[in-house]
Amino acid sequence: MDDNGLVVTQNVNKIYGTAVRYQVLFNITLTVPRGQFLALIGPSGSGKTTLLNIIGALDRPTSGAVFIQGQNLNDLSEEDLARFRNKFLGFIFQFHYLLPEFNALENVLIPYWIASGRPKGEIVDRAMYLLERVGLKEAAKKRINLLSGGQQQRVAIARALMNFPQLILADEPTGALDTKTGEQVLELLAEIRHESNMTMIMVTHNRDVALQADRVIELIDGKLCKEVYPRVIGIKEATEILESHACNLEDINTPRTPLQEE
Amino acid sequence: MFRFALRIAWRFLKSSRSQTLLIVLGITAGVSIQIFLSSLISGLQANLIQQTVGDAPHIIIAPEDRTPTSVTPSSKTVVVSALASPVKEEAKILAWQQIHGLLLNQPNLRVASPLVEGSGSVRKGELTRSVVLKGILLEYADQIYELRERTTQGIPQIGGNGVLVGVELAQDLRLRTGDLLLITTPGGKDGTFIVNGTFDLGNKTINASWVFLDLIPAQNLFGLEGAISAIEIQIDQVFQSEYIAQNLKRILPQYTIETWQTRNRQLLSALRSQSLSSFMIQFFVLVAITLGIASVLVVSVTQKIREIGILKAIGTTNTGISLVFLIQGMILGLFGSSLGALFGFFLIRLFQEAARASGGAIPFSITLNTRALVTIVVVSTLASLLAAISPARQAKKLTPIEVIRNG
Repeated sequence: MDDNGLVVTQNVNKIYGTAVRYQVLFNITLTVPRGQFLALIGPSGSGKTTLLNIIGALDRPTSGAVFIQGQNLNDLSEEDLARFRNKFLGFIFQFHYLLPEFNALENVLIPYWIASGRPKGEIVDRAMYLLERVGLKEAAKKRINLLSGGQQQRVAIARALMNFPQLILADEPTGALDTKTGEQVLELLAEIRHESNMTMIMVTHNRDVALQADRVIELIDGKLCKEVYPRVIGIKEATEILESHACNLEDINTPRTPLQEE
Repeated sequence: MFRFALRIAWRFLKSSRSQTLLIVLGITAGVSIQIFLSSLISGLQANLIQQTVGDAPHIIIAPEDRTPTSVTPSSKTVVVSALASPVKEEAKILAWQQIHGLLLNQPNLRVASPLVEGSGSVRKGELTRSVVLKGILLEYADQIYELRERTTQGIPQIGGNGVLVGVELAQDLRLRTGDLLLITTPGGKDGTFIVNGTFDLGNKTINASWVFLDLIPAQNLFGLEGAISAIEIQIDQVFQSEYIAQNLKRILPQYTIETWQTRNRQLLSALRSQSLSSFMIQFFVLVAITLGIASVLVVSVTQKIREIGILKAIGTTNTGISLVFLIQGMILGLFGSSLGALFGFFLIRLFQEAARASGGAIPFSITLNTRALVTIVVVSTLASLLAAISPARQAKKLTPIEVIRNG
């Protein structure tokens, strides 16, 4: 296993349905080094969210394998996967997905509760610090329903960071926000990433957002199509590649092992 | 994990406040009715048993092969068996003082009363009636029949030639205190006695046929010469009679030992079917409670589908999420049944007040049966836990991806 590959996918296929089979992902082989900010883009239905969910241990591939820090996720039971998600991953979804029964501080603490029960004072201090970091110190004791959409998403970011995750998975984190709020959230994510050198995979349909990443991969119809490193080749050239119709990853997304298609 | 599940469960219940409140009230109503009903039935039954055997012997020791005739008239079985095996007049207890002394030293026995018993006839002037003659020692027999309290006329004394007669018999023969009576036995012996008083044992047949006289003249009338025909016993706990009778049988193997149960089969079967119907009602109340909780929790799983998905996505295990719903069931059960216990207690107090205020119209009172209360609370809580199993399984089956994909 590649030592630099925090996340490695090997020939990942995903097929939905049994009667009517519908293949969403084709032989995805991909390595994400530690510390990288990877943006997954593509039109809707391209399979980018499915890939993110498979990497995030929320879904299992039909065939192929996902290795995270060398651990093959196929070897883990459902219960182990749950514990793995709790300990290792931080999720930020398009909709904030906070629990309305709890206040902001409690929502940030939930990942800790799941793993370890009653939080000690220092743990609460960390949650408070995270809330302060996302600019919501004043709202700690507020009910979730009383917060704005942007505030809720920022609480979700604080929650994702609670258990010191190695990998942040974000699915359209600004999708439900207005442009200005969305920008603030992205800035916040960038700052936090720089501070802690966290690995992040973000699904977005927004090309401008994607171009802020270290690496952009475009999926088309469930296959890897384009790959650019905007910081290496510059925003201008990266934009040109992404706007062209030709794939630059032809060799990667041609199936090497023939699939049993109907 | 338990602490986490408890915290989430508590918040879930708190957030759907009216739903939670309604189901807790439902459980409260069910459990309080269960507790009230079981106390009412046991109070009623205790009263019935007290009425039946409170002033009758609980255990009778008689010689082998002699069916005692001192039975409660309601019992048919004994009449039949008495006909089947003819009374052997010679059967008697000879060294009764020794047995009597032995019995008085037994624990759990309240009183043992020697008895000479037989049929005879009494005559006053032209009027004759056949009667049951009961030769007793008043100091012992009084503890069973409460003759002192139940004497309606005259004085409760039977020393020498004094007798006490039932009120109905006195009316039949137009007897008054101080009248003389001629008593004749089938053996051909007779004697003249003085009516010291009349008694009312609350049973018409007994009041019309029983005559109490002292043991010694009764022995003479029946030619028993120092022997007696039976020993009647009352015990502290009426339902221990079978157990005590077994012990007595071990000490006194040569005698027949009969308990009140064998003489009151009909009453017992009536009590049993009453208990059964009360049990049935309680069972179906329990079923209703269980179904109520189950339906509330099933709805709650659907309502909380989003939260369940989030919790699972950020790492709650299937066991953890199942626990959340099991705990909800347990909390509902525990709260509801505790409140129900409190309210049931209140209902019982209310009934007690009503019984006191009724001035005898409600002829019995009820007490809280602690064992029944604990049983009901525990069983209801367990049933609530049971009710939560299906919702817990539903929550377990839910995958986070379904929730996240559907927003």
